[in-house]
Amino acid sequence: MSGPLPIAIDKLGKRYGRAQALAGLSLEVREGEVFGFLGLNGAGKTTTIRLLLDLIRPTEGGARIFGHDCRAASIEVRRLVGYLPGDPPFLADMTGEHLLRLLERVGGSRVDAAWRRELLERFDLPARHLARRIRDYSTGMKRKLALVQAFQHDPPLLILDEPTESLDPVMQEAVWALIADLRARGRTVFLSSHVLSEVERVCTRVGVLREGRLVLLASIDELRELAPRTVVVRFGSEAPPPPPEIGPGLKVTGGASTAWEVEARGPLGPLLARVAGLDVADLEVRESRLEEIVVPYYKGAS
Amino acid sequence: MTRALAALIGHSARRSRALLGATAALLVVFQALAALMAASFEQAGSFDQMAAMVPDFLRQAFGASFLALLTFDGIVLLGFFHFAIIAFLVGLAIAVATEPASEVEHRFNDLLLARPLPRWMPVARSAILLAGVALATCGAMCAGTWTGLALFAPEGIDWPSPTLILSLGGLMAALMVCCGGVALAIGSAARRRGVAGASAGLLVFGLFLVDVVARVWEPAILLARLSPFHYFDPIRLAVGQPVTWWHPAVLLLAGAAGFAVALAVYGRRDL
Repeated sequence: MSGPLPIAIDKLGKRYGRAQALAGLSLEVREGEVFGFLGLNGAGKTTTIRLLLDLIRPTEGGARIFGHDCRAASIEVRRLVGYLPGDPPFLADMTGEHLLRLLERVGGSRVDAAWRRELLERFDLPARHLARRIRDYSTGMKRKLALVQAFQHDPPLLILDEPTESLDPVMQEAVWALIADLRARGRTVFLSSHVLSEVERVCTRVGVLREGRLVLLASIDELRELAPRTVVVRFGSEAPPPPPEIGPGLKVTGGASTAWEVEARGPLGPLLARVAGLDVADLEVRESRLEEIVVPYYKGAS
Repeated sequence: MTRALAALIGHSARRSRALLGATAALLVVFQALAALMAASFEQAGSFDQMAAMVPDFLRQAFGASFLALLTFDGIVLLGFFHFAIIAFLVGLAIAVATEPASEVEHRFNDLLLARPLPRWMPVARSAILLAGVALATCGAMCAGTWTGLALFAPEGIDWPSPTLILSLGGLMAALMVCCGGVALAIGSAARRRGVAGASAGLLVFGLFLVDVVARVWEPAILLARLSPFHYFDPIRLAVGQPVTWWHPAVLLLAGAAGFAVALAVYGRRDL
């Protein structure tokens, strides 16, 4: 029997004067899930995150984190959350070490030194760098420091706004590996990202926001089912004329003189049966990329 | 909770320690030099000459209190009523009190208040720091005065009484708390420290001008009751008039009211 949901958002809305930043957002994030929160800039992702943390106040609806109301019990909520802001707001005259110690002390819970050491190693932030003032850090180093502060108290829920922004590929890999490890340990991750290939790789479900409204909520597997695969059948010689109909969910959409390109929305059995006995040299199945499915939702598909 | 508040105070104090240290050192040195200057005038018998040189129209304009400043005590206590020092210390109080606006401006609050910190804590931190800065700077002025007297006062001359020095220091600290409290209220609603500081500075300057007008134009006296400078008259103390205890009390109450407004505003606003 599982406990209260890590995140339960109910008709959450935020209005700034006449501008509706977020409208009637309802969604749930389950324990152990890595949830991808997608949308163009200004879609309302950061607004949602700041509402969850009680940094801004909703004009309608509400949200609960592990059963605690984000407004009425915001201190309890924030005790359970690790937050990575999209643009790490550091004070340039502080050292990295000072920042981590300050946030540990105001956080109220003791940080496990071994865990912090592991994080610093994973993100390649040695002690000599922590002793430097943040004004001397590169953008990537600031991002790594921001990641360490978000993870250091090992909270059950992580809210990460663009976690791999400004990181080199090696560090991006380290972030995804850490998220995978945390998920294996039962932690829940709610992340916003623009890098759809990464979202596809690590997330179990995604929600897409457009102009403050949730326009898509689905698991990655469901999304894949929404989009057709492309099967390229290459022949060893001249391709035979494509049949007008292969089977349910299968349609030849193009090709070349030696190949058919088939759009497949169902099982491939009928296609295989159709090409059996032909001079097939190769058969390539291309999965749809998340971009192909999600980007139309950014632009207005429903 | 106490640990978190102490951490916040320590963090802010650490960031401003150079400015505060330098200010305190300058004030100590200035007050010590004022004592040296007063001792030098006293030994040269210059006070009588200076008083004799004051034209009649100045005597009439400023009254007997003006001449009373041209004494050993008046020069020793110069820092407590010198306009530049008062303006600087009020500015310092405003700078300290607008830290919440700075944290909103730089979004440092997104890190701090993503932790289990209650909203009142950054405001309380600034109020405590403000009180500490007021006590430290005015304490430094008192310490500088005594140091200067101990080092330079001529033998046999009466020093200004400890009560007088402490009263002047306390009155100055109360003025800083009052102006800082107003700035804290403004800073708790503002998104930018520059805007908060400029607004608070303009308001205080406006209230100062109201007091200046009221001192020479009677109809403005009622309005002048709104000015902190109406309750801040160190020259009166320096020339030997008794301490009016409700003056610093009004200033401290105004500072406390600013703190209360700041708590209410900061607790409700979007950060």
